[in-house]
Amino acid sequence: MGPIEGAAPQASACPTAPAPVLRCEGLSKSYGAATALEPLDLTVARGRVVGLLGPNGSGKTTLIKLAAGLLTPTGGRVLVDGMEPGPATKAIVSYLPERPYFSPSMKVSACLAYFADFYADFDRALAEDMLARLGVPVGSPISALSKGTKEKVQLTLVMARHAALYLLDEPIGGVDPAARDYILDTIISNYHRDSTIVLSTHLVGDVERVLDDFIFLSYGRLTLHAPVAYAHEQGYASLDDLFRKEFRC
Amino acid sequence: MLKKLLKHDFKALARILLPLNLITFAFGLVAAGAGFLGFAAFEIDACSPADEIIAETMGAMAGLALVICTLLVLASTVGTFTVVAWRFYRNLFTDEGYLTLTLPATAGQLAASKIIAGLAWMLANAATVMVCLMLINLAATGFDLGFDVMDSMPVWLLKATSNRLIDSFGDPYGPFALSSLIGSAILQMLFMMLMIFASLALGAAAAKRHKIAAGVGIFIGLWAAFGMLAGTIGLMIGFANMMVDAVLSLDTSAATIALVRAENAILQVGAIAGFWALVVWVLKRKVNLP
Repeated sequence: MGPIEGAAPQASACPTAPAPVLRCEGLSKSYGAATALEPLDLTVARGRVVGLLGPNGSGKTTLIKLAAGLLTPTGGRVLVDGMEPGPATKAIVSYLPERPYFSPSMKVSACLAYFADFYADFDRALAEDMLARLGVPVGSPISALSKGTKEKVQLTLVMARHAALYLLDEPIGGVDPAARDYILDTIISNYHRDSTIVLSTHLVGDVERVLDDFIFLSYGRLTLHAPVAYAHEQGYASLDDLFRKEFRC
Repeated sequence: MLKKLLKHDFKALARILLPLNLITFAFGLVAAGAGFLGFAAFEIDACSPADEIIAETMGAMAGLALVICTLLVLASTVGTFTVVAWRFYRNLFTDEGYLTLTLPATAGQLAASKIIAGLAWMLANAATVMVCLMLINLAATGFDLGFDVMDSMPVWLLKATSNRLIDSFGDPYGPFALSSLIGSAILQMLFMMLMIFASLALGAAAAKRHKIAAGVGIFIGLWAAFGMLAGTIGLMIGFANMMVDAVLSLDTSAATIALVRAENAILQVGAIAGFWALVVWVLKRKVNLP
C-alpha cells in the first residue's frame, strides 16, 4: 500500500466509486506576503477517518477553515461534496474549531436548542444522552464550565450531527489524557460509516488507533497522504514514529 | 433561515436590552414623579418663610432628580446602540463567528438578521424613551391634558433627529407629516447602524490587532466623508438657488431647504445600500477570524 497521491487515482479509476467528499484543486492561501498553504491537490474519500498532521504553522487550521467556508482561497478551489463552500456545504459539514465559540451567557440547553434549530441533521436525543454520560449539567451556563468541559460540550454537539463531513480542529488538544480516549471513542462511535472525519492534531500517538489515513503538512505543503498501514510497511513501529522522523527539528 | 436567525438574535439582544428598557422606564417614572413634585412645590402657597424654604428645597431637589433621570432615559439610546453594535461585532468577528459563520445561511441573511433585530430593539427603545418623555412632560405640567403635543419633549426630540423636517409641512398634525417624521427618524437609525456595522466589519477584516480601534477609526473617517459630501452638495444647491433668486428675483429659500433635506435623505439611502453591500462582501469574502 503506497501513498495516496493527490486526486486518488484508485477512486477515479472505478466508475461506481462515490464522488469524494472533499477535493482540493490547486488550493492555496496567502495572508499578504505570507503563504499559509501552497498550491495543494487532495482528495478525501467518503467513509474515512483522516488525520491532518503537522507541526505548528503547517497549514492544518487554514486547510480546515477553507473547507469550512471561513476563508476564501487565494488560488485554486476546494469542493465539498462537489460544491464550493456556501450554505449548502455548511448544512452537511460539521465543524469543530479549536476555540470555544458559544457565548458565555448561553446555557448548555440553549446550545442544544441552537443546533436543533439550525441543523436538520442534528440528533438532539443523542446529544442529550452523550452530555448526560459526560456528566455535563444542561442547565449550566457555558461560563460556569471548565475549559475541558466546554470542549466536550462543543464536541458532543458537533458529533451529534449526521453530517457528511466532520472537520475537527484539534479536538483533543485541551483535555486531559484520560478524557482523550473517551473523546476519541465518542468520535468513532457516533459517526456514520458513510461520513468522513478530518481531524487535525499534534497528538499523533493518541489518535493513531482511530485513523484510516493520514495527511502530513509541512510549511503549507502536503508532503504525504497515505493509509496508516503505510507507516508499518515502511518499517516504522507506529505512525507516531514516522511523524517524529518526518518533522524532527 | 432568516426567521431562525432573527429568533436567536432577538433573544440574545433581549437578554440585555429588555432589562435596560425596564430600567429606562423606571427612571422615566422617577423623573415624572420628580417633575410632578417640582410642579407641586412651585404651586405651594407659602404662608411663612419656612414654608418657602421647604418649597424651594423640594423644588430644587425635584429639579435635580428630574434632570439626572431624564439624562439617564436619553442615555439609554446610546446604550442600546452600543449593545447592538457590540453584539454584531462579537457574534460575527470574534470566536462566536466560528459558530455563526458556519451556519447554513448566506452572508445576506446573517447581515439582515442583525440589522432587523438591531433596528427593532432601537425602535423599542425609542418608543420607551418617547413614552417616558411624554410622562415627564405631563407630570411637570401637573397633568394638564390641554397642552400642545407639538410643543412637547418627544416632538422636540423627533424634530431634532429629523432636521426639523416637520416644520416644512403646512399641517404639522397631518398623517403625512407624522409618518414622514417617523420615517425620517427610522432612516437616521438605519443609516447610523449600518455605518457602524460597516466600520466594524472593515476594521475586523483589515486589522490584525486592535480591530475595534480600527473600526472606530474607519467610522470617524466615514462620518467625516459623508458630512463633507452632504455639505458640499447642500452648498451647491444653496448657491444654485441663490443664483436663480438673483437672476429671476424670486424667493426660493423654502424650496432650497426642501431640496437640501431631500438630498440628505437620498444620500443616506445610497449610503445605507453601500454599507449593506460592504458588510455582505466582508462576511462573504474577507472574514478574518482570530
